[in-house]
Amino acid sequence: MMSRHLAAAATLAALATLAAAPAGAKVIAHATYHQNFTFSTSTAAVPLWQFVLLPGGERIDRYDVTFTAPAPGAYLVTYSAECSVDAGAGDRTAYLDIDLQMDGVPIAPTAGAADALCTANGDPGHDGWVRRSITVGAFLSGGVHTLRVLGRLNNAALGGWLGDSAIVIHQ
Amino acid sequence: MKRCNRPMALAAALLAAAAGAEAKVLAAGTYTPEFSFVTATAFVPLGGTAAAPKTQLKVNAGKAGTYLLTFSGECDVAGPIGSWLDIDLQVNGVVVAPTVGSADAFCSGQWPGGLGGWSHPSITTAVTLNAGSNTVRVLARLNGGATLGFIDDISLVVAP
Repeated sequence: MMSRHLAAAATLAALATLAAAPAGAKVIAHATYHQNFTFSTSTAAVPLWQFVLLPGGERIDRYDVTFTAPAPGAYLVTYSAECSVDAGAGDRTAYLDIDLQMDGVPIAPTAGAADALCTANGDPGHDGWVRRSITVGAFLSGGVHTLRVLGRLNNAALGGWLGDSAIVIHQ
Repeated sequence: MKRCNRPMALAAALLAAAAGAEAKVLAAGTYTPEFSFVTATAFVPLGGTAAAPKTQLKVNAGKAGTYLLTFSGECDVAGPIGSWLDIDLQVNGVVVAPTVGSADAFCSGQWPGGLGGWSHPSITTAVTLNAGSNTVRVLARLNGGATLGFIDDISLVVAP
């Protein structure tokens, strides 16, 4: 027969294990987009993966990742993409920023337009590509959430490029 | 209170053990010496020394599943504007998305003719590992007239 102290220890241990389990690292959802994506509007939803229609194999861009958070808590979102900005000759201040939107709300520090992901290099047209990456934390309730990425052109940028992206939601 | 300290200590120890069992880095490699190449492709050092670089990282996974792979490095390209360097992340010899092919620039030539536009790009993507031993390699490729690729201060991490 379990003593009161042993029972208390077992209960505490069970609670401790339950609390620790969600804190462990784990990939919750992920997606990749293996195409070039360019836009010339002031803002644009950024494709994150493609749906393949059978039997023809037509590819449909998808702009959101919907996932289920197993429990309330802190999660990490990592997004990276090949990035460049088209601007006029000599323009090295035009830039592209992104908003990572969780359930429609931008995640800090990506809210607003002042967070450049990449910048024009002074040469007209798209070149100077660099893979940029950002990892942010988000506190989520347990249940279903939707993540989107909004691209935005700033400072007279003529075009933006966000290709070959990878996005991962993990604990 | 003294009599209650033992179960509390036991719970704390179990909590520490549980936490330790959950979060851990499976494998990590770093390479700080300068690495450059002029061939069309080259495997990137992931460890070792300049005299004896290692271009393969072994990863032992406790169970098959989806893991995180993060690769970063200081990167530059010598070549015309519009030239670039891309990488293929290879897990057990298979290139993982979105790094398949050559169209995914990691960094680019920013100044005509020479180096000078260093950046430190990074990619994190999900990869599938087998239970047991796995290998990771990174192939770099020159594109668009690039004549030299440069990567150093490299870091590669595989984690649950």
